[in-house]
Amino acid sequence: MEVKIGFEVHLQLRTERKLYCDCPTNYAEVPPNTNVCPICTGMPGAKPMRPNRAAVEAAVEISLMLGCRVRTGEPLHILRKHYDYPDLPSGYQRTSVPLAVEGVLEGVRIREVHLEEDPGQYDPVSGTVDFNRSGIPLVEIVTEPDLRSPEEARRFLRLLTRVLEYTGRVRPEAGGAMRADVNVSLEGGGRVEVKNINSVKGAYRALKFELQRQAERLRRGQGVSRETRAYLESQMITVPMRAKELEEDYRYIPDPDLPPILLGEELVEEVRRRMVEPPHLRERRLVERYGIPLQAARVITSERELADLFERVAGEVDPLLAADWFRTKLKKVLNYLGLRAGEVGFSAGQLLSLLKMVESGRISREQGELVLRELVRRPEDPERILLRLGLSPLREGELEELVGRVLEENREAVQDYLGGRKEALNFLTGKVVGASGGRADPREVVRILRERLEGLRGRD
Amino acid sequence: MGTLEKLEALRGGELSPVDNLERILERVERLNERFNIFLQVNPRAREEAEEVERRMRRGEGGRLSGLAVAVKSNLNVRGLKATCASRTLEDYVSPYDAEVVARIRREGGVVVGMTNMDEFACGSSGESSAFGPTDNPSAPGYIPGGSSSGSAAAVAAGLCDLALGTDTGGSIRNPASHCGVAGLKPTYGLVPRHGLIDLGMSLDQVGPLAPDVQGLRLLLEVIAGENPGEGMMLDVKRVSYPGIEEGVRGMRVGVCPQFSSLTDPRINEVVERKVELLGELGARVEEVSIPHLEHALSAYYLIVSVEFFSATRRYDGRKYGKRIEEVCGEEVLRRIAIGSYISRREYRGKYYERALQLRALIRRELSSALERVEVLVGPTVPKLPHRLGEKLSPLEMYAYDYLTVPANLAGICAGVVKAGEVGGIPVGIQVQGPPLGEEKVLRVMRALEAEAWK
Amino acid sequence: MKARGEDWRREVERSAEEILQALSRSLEVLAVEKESYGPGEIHQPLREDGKPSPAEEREAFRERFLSLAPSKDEEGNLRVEAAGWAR
Repeated sequence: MEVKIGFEVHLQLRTERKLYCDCPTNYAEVPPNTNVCPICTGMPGAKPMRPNRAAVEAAVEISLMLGCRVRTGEPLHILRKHYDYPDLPSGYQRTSVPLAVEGVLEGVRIREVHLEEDPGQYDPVSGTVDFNRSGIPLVEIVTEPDLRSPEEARRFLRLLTRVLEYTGRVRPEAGGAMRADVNVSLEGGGRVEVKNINSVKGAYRALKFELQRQAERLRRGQGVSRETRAYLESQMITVPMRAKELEEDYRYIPDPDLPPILLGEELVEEVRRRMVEPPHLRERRLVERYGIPLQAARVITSERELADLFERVAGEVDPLLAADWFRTKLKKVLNYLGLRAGEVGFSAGQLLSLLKMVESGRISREQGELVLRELVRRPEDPERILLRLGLSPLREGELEELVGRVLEENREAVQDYLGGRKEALNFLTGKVVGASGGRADPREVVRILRERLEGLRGRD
Repeated sequence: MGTLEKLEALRGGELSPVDNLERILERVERLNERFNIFLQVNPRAREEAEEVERRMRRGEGGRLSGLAVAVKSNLNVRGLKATCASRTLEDYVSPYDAEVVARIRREGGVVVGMTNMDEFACGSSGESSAFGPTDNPSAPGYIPGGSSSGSAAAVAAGLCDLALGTDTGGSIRNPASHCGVAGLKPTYGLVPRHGLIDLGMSLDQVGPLAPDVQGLRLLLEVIAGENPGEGMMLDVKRVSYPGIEEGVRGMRVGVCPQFSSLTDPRINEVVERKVELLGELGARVEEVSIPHLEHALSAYYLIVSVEFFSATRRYDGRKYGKRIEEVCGEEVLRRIAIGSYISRREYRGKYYERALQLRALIRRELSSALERVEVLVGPTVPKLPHRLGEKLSPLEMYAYDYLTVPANLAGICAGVVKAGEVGGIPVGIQVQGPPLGEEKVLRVMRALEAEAWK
Repeated sequence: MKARGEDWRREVERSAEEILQALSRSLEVLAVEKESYGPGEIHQPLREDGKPSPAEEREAFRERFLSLAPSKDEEGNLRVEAAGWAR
């Protein structure tokens, strides 16, 4: 049975001021009705200020991230959407017409992106209203009903929030910064809209419940009528909303207090120039450009700063080595210390230096990992860390010297190897490691010995 | 004493702001009950006058230097009640100053009090206030006009030096005409609206009323100019009109047959005499046409109803005041009903969008006319004010607005100054100019006024 | 004050309909025009984001805002009706 799922996702934008007034936006951190003024509380006579530029630019950036066409050069009106609810101080919500249309994210078409203001916070149980949140800028993203299962929907929402959080322009999903309305229909049934979803998990559960409910009804021949339902998180079910809410005619009019937004080409180009590469595209590019595995690229692009760091070093050292170290050792240390990549104190140069030491075999992997841990904790030149830890690396070229010396001193073993006796390699390796006082990395030694020995084979 | 003379007296020290205020308060005491002009007198007026005096001693008296200003009750004045003459907001004490009020205070104006008006500015007579009608001090027993009834009456009765009114469809000009005082509706977007309680957001403007044209000019220069951050304002920093005494020689003045054809002949006669006078003073009078003028009224009432419906959704009784539909008067309820109906999805195209198109047409016609001439002159209202208590149907009441709504629809400026009387009832002449054409409008008004005072 | 019963409301609504009919006759005179939402074309730059409004200003407003509220609680929330569907 064909399933059609689409979303209207609302996310709060990260700005210092609200969308239509200068009140601060840290609504969760202050007592009720503290970040308020006549405008965001709907006092008689209060007029909105012109829209916050950072919010508009963030919406444009998000639109570009999602591959949308931005509607430049047309007057984009801000509409009043009227309805009666305690959290709406003016009795209407200001919402723009679409600023951008026709995008796509991993195969799911984005119908439109627009800008609106958050209402206040209403607790329907206790009957209290706090307007701190009223007027915070929101971006609304509407998709076509291109998703086919709750799992697909969950994957998509996770990707969407990851992409948007990556820009740094939206508040993270946790803390109620994301709200979604989901619409879902089964073949043969009407389209049902489900509201009051505040998390990716909630969306998944709501969809599972709803699909089950609808399938059951269709099976029984009861039919599924077009309606609006509410998701109840505590019980993980959907319930019908009151009929009154369904017949809502929002009586949209362009807000006479606000001039239409006019997005110029220059503004869009400026945003495009400044914006970060979206993670899903960067991931792909890292794989192509550096030949690293997708899994590694995914981990590396999980944080923008981590990916930035990776690209600083991957040009100068074996990228596979770097990728492996980023995915396993570096990520491990960061997680252990609870640090984000953007918070590390060491420089790219220092990290590069360390990786080069490992690459050249001057230190063993195990030694490298110890140095890395120190590097994160107390950033310093890796050479000095080695000294401090009492691990002295081999000098540049020292390993080559030692290998040369051992080969010289153990001609018999060399002949044995060339004659086909593989154990001779182990013997020679042990000699080199011994000669280095245990500092050489056995794997590196083996590699170099093999190279040299094969080189000798040709000469005899 | 004219405004400028009084200002000089205040600045020169012959009159102190406190004395000025005291005299005014004395008159208020004597006359307010009879004419029902002020809904609230500012209990801190004396303190504010004293403060202005102190500032004047430091040389910081500002452009108003202690002049007493009456404020219409739909403007927020912190600490006073902006009731809009409605039970909905009868206990609403403003938590903030409207931008225009802040400017007046900064320039040394003293707020006398909050004036009576038609409820939520929905009226043209001054009779629909929830707190009783205002009487016309210049023609007692007759309506003072509306909706800035109290502000116009305050000027007429000498209960203030200057007054703030608001004009959405004629609400400054109509009472200015009936009360025989000067009033001006500025170009839309010239004066900040932050703090003005909405009737029709794309039509409302705050404007001055005064006993003379220099008073209009003074108050306008204080309140006009950009308010950074406020949307829908024109890109004008400050205004100044030094040239309004220059006379009208060489000015092209337009008269419009569509104005007079709608108007009582007795009013036309008074106005025509003034038009002739302009000709004698050197202006070139010519006829221009505004073919669809009479349809402007319909466009206006349809648009204002939709906007007013939207504006009133916030009066839900949860944050302040009461739920409007539960306590408002008949006209307010009627406009909400009309606005609610025609903004419905299925009717938008039929009414609202057509009205917007009609608006575009009127704007074009006025604009064309004002390309051929510099100002338009004509009557302000098509009929003489009726007696207080006389019952008019809503459409008969709306008919007062025929000649004033076009300026609001087009966003142009328009002023009114007394032109004469009919049977003792004041008749005002309306002068309309292009957007930001206040200087020309004031100049014509001043020329007429100067002749009348000779 | 007039009695505000249902009859009165219905009467007002009926008068509203009548007026609407009268007013809309004017709409028939028109050829189709482009709509005009406002009195003129006003385009403006956007408002810069930046330091929010000062706390003292908002504290003062908060006090007045709460004193206007028909009902509030100790934390400063507005008190309004509870919702039906959220049992």
